Amino acid sequence: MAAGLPPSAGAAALSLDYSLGFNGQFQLDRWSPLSVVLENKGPASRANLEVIVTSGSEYQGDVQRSVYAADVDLPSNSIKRYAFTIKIKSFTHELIIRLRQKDDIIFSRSINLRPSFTENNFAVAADNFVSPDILAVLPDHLCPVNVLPKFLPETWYGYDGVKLLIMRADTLSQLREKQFKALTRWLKQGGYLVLGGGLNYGSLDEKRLQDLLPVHVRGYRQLLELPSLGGFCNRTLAGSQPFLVLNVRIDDAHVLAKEDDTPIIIQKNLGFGRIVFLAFDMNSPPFSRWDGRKMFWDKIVSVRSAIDRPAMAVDDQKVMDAMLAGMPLKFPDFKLGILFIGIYLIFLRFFIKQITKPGPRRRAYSLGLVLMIAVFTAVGYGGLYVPSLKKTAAYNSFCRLDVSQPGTPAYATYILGLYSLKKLPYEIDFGADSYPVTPLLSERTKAQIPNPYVLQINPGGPRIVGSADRWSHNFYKLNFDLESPLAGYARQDNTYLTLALENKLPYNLIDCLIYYKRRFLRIEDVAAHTRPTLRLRLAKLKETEIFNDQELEKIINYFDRHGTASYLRAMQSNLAKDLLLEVHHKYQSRPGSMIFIGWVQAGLIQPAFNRSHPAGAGLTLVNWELPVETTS
Amino acid sequence: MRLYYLTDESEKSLAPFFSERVLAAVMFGVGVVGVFLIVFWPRRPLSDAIAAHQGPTVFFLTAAATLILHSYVNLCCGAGDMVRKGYHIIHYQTDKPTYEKEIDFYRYGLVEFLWHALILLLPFLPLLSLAAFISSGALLTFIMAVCVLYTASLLCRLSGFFVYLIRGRASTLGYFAARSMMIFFVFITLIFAPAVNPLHVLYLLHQDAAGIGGSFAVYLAAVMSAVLVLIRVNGALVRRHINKEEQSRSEVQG
Repeated sequence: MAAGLPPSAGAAALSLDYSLGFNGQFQLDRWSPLSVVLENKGPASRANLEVIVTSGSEYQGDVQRSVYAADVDLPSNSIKRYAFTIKIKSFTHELIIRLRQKDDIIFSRSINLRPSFTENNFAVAADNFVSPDILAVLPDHLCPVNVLPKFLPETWYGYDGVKLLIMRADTLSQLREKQFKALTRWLKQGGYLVLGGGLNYGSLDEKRLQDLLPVHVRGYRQLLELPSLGGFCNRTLAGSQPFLVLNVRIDDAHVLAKEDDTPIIIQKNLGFGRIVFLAFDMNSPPFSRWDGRKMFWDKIVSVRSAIDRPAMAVDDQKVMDAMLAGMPLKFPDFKLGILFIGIYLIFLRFFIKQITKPGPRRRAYSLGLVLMIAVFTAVGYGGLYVPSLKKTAAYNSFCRLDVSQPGTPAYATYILGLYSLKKLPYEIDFGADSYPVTPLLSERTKAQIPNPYVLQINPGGPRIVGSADRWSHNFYKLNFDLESPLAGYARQDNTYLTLALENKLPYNLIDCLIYYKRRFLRIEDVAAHTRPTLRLRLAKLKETEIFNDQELEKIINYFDRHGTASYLRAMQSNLAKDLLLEVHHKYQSRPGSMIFIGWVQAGLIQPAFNRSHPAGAGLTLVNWELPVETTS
Repeated sequence: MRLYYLTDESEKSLAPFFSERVLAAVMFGVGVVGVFLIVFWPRRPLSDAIAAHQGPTVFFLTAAATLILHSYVNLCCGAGDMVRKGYHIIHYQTDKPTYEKEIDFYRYGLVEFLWHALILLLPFLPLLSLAAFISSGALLTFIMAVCVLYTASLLCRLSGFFVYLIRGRASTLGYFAARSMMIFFVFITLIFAPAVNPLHVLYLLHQDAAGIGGSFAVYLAAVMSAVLVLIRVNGALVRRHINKEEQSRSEVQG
């Protein structure tokens, strides 16, 4: 609290309100939104707002505390909202929200989680007022909740447990900018939004909606019934009074139900996600009194898009093992060590022999002995220690980037490994974007829980604050999407297979392979910001053996021989086999698809270390699935 | 006053700096530590150590070997065992008094012991520092370990000298008593007083445990107290010997 005030005096002027999950409900082991509203009626104050999530069992000794924190600045008589996205793994421990000023806890609140968790995914109706009737008719396998728009997540991964989001089109304008961005990203990654048109079509012209769904309004149409819904969900909607529906057109959309030329239910894909637009007001009669609503919503849920990302399922443990093997720290060479010790002992023996002989040169040899000791200490430092271990901390990163068809985001899984030989306080910034950060625990460690850390939520992006022990490792996993960095096409005619691609990355793609018709072929490296076109004779492709153990061996040997950077070589040696087998098993039955695999010697996220400066290396594996057009 | 320990290599000097036997013993000690370093050199990849959250033990083992060897050499030097051979089996009738016994301890013996213990430690330093580098120990940790080695060897030397002053260097009982004192200090205290045990402190330093500063301070305070007590006692014993000598000389002259 304010300077000079004891914490308790300041705490009395503070009040805290919160909204956890969706209308107080959350799913275990899923990211959930948490809004904390702080009101300060006292003097201006600065503090650190901490949200502590505890999991694990005291009996098994694996109690783990995840701390999410944000710096708060509360002027006098102010109300501020702080949004977190947290992952709760257990309901047996209370959730703690507290305000800390240095070592003083000035405000703390514990929340019993037991009554709040659900095992079902959410169907969220986001509106300031939703009739309970609507929630009652939503599919049984979902947990229906009404959420005030202001409590919707501010991060895309806050929608982790949401299978269906229902809102009126004009609700979009009520969202904060962060909320709208989060919603858009969630949709592009496979989210599902049902937008009700309502009768206020002025809101349909707003930029936010137009960005998501380019709706062109032609006017209203008055109807008495919607027989087209019979074809959609086996129940016709008939009203006792005439009602209005919007007559709209949406570019590149698919009409699921229409009355004559008026679309009633329109579906449009956005990235991997899907938006369904309803041309009628779902909160008003006759829809709100329709007895077919349950069937309608069941059908709506069933048209949710199935996501088919070309994700390579490489086990995190294997990636961590490979990253450990490729870490940029090593012990001094054993042979050099023996040589050093041997030479030292020879010199020492020589000098000792000389100084035991009485004579005028004894003093000179004594000085020589001391000098020799100093020289060997310096050589040990400069020759054995500095090249190997002077950097007492290092990091490496591995990013797996799955690129799919045009118009869909590329999806990245990024793992950062931080290795320390000494106690090391660290802060890692990952840039301005928000990522779900998960600590990973290597199976090779005896520890039962990851090292504690604080995920500091700042306006400039998330920051991991922690302290590494001696001889320890810390792994963090982040997921994010980005605009596809590769574009192009693959085409096959009678003679050639043509691959035209554009590498928008600022890095070269090296050690590239393509997988087509059950064969792996090595292709040239693709330079940064270039658009090469590669033509392969089909005859040459057929000369290559169908992928088998020998071919696998050949490719791995090629990587071993041609890998230049040790980190790249270590990762390729450790991961190539699993990767190639995964591609072969997944795509051998899809002759119309080509898989492109390339390596980038850089990470797509550049972590910035604030308190320490470990040496580091990054690596990205790009995996791109593209359909092959066949022309004669 | 002449620095006999630098110039006189006869039996009159307890442990001459240029004594072939002393230097050969140090050479042997350094060789053994070198072998330790080679045997316990971490040959597994560093990533395995990081994965297992367990650093190499080479520094602790090398420092422990140095502690035992260096302390023993100093014990022998203090007890005067390094100049004559076979003294503990055959009782020599002519155990000549040494300069350390004849000159005031604070002006001669103590100065010699402080310097000699340090100088004998120097040849171990390149190997110890290399072991510390491999274990990625902090410079402060290394300095603390060297302090432990130095203070332990000084204590052993002073206790050896104490036995020498009491029993002479030709006594079999003295021979075993001196070694028992070293065994007690280096090994037995590990069981009932680990706070003052140099091996235990070296192990804590190897672990770089939290609060090692406190343990180190306790060890240093205890060992330095023992050193100070031995300095006082040895000083008193040397003074008594000098007085006795002067008295008998004056009686002869009278």
